[in-house]
Amino acid sequence: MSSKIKIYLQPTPVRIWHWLNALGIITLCVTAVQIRFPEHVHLFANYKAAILLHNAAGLVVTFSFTLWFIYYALVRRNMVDVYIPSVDDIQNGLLRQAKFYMLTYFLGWANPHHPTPDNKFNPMQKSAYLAIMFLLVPLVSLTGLLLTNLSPMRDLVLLVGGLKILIAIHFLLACSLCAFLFTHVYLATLGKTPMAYIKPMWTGWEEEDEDHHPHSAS
Amino acid sequence: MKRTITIITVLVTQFALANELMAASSVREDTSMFLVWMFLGMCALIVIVQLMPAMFLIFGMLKSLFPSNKQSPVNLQANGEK
Repeated sequence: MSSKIKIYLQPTPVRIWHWLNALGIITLCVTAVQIRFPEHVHLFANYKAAILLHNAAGLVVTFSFTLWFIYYALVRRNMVDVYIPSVDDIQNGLLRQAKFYMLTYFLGWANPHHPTPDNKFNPMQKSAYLAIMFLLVPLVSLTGLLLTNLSPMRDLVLLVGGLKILIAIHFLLACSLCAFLFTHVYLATLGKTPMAYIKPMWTGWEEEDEDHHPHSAS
Repeated sequence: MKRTITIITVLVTQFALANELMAASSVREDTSMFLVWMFLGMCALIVIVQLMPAMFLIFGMLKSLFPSNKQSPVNLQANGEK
């Protein structure tokens, strides 16, 4: 029987960023439904309330994204290690991880990836987060900020192709982000217990089998 | 006397109407910002709860840096004090 070791995987700034992001993105999705379909959806008191809450949540997500960027790029300086997939990740890791999610997980096999503070994500997570954190979130935040303040950045809106194009881009990017949310929550429950991956994101500490950990004596 | 009663009646009616008007205006008050404040409150709660372990750690470190002069009964007995 293998003993357990505890790894401090999620530091405080990352946890704050993650949960602010979660609350912000869920609020954005819910308010967006009323903003997009005001004649059919009446979740909030009025249209103005939905707009105000959407804008506030958007600003919180943009602020927490900035916190995330400063933390990984300037404080920890390990953004490349954590978020950029290596050659081995692309050549072998992606397939290995996809096989686990699609087949071997259901046969009760162990996850082939064992996280460390500098290599937290498996190859599939790295690829997904690369697209989300470096493309989707910055673009959806930028288009959202442009839509909130149209007049000061009118030239930039015209450069994109006008208001309708900007709204379409913002909507499609937001739909992709919303789709990711469902995948993210589902995959987060695929630990040894449904809460095994969610708990470390709240407490910071993850439990690992000692024989699986690269820094263990064995 | 009749004139005084008329004035009082007019004043009472006006106050009663004014009260109604004030009640009506408070009902129509825009409450759109309430949800925003609630959302920001939730955000603040997340930050505070996540910072609590760090605050306890700092508090514990400060406590160990500045120990209190009060000796426990066990220490007093060990030192032969009564």
